[in-house]
Amino acid sequence: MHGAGSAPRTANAGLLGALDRFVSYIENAFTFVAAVFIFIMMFFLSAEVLGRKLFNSPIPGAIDWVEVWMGTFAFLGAAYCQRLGGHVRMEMLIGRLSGLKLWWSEFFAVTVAFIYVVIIAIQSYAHFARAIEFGDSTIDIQLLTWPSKLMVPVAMSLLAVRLLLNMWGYVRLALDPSKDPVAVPIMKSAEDIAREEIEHGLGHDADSLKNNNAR
Amino acid sequence: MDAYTLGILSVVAIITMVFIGVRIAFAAGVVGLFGLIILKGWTAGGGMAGLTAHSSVTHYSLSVLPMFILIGYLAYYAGLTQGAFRCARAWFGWLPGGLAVATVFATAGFAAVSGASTATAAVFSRVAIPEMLSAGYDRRLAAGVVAAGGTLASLIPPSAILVVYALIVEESVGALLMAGFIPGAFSAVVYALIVILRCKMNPSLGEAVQGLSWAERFNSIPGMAPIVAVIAIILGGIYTGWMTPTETGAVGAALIFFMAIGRRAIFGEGMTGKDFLDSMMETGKLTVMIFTIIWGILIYVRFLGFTGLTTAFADWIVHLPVPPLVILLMILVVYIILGMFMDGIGMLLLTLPVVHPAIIALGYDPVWFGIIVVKMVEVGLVTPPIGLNCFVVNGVRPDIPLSEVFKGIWPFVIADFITVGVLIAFPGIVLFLPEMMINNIAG
Repeated sequence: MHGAGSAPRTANAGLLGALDRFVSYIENAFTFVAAVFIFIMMFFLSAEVLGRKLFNSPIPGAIDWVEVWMGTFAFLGAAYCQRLGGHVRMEMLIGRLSGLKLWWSEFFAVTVAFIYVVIIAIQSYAHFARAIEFGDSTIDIQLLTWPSKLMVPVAMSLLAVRLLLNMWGYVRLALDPSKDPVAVPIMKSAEDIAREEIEHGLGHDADSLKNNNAR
Repeated sequence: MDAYTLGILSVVAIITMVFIGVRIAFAAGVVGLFGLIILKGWTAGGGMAGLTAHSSVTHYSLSVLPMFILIGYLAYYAGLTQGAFRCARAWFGWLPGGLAVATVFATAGFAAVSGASTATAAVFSRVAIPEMLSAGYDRRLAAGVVAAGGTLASLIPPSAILVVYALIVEESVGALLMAGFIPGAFSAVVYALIVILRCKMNPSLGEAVQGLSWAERFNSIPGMAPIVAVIAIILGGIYTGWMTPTETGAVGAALIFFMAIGRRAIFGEGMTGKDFLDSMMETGKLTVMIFTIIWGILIYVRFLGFTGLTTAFADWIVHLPVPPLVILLMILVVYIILGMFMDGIGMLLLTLPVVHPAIIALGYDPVWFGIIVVKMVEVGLVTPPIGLNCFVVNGVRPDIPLSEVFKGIWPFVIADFITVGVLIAFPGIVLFLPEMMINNIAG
């Protein structure tokens, strides 16, 4: 169930490289916040179940809390995921291209995404602004919904910045394919993905495996 | 241009974009967004898309996804693999090809809990293949059983892909999770039977383990206990109606988390602080990946609803001069082919908005179809040309060539086709548990 993953290669490449690293920090922080909310939700719901079943005292508005928190993990990591090439796609055709054809195709693909994400950022901001204006709240315990709705334009803005860096990175390569890729996810073969899965599955053991194979 | 023509053009546009490498979430989203803007204007159409992004996914029923994903990432650190294999070996080792049979059940259990087919194949290449090879087992059999066992991840709960299916076709998440269990267990049994049969006819493939004692069997049970506990919490919690699917996921994840912490504290092995942080970030990444596709697709579905295309397609399918079964089989063949090139969840989300209404119109049960189609997706994980699980086995065991792994996998692919055939012939196997659950909760 893993999307084709890729890792960035951030060599020292002037302004683009510096921007890439700077945006990466923000992306990591956003994803970390999302992950923390997932973790909080695990404890919160476990406590809710125990409270309800053992002590007959459910946490009021548990569903409302969860739905408000969902704004974080549903959106905040989107740019992080894009940086690592985690959003799923089909590489049947593009995987066979190389050089100029590859970089221009990639440029087209991220430009389409960029246009989409910018429009969604604008339109979801409008949705958020309406929530503030009317003081929208959840059904059960009247939690305000605007903080959750704010996550969409915030996350989409960061994703738009990431896609812009991708566009820059691909144009740079299209103009001079001999350069090292910077600020773009690198496509991986089935063997590469398999290797990543092995490292994921085996954790520390994978290192010893690498050493064994190298010998 | 009328809405219907626009609908057809939208399908062509999505297929083109997906082919040239646009990420599925963005391809579906952008087509839906522009479709809505063309039909309803910038303010209403665009506004609808902006609203759908948030409102369609911040829905309680979807909160089960990160919980199941978290269970998967923590499962590696809770020390489940060795224990599961030892237990399965103690109980099933006496059968012909006993170690391979044990591998089937241990991988099925671990794959179910971790939810990750390929990573399961990696882990068991390390745990089970060495033991099989040193016991003189045929290496094709050893490699094939590990690669195939991982594919049982998607049917036995917790299963993220079944949750995604349920959400997109608007069926009960609980019903889909219940429905997956028996077919998943049945698949494992069919794999085991294939191994036993082949080893019985040709004992040189792999022999029974000698000298297993009852003490060994009973002592090994705690090794399998965490896996059984997680599956039982989810099935039991949903079946009795005591917990929502999300709550079963949260309790399961907490259990595995404390096991991993305990293992570190008591035995000093397993999850380090960095491992924990990595698991969190990976959970965040996979979660947002799935959510981004879901809302992208739902923007497209919004638009599709205005075009009338899905109704027209369903109408056309129903009036084809061939029996529904033939159409069903044709659809399944398309899924096998797609499954070779595309991630399962992406593929389901991309195709279901059009395929699902047609399946309903043909008179098939949507819960049943979900199980069949997920089984098909899994077959794609082991068949050439991609067959990721086979690459993984070969990656961990470079001494077993990829061609041998692919040869080893065929008996299990045939087993899968037999399973699908049985599930088509006897839909009750799939629908029995969810129907009982509904009666139980209603009663």
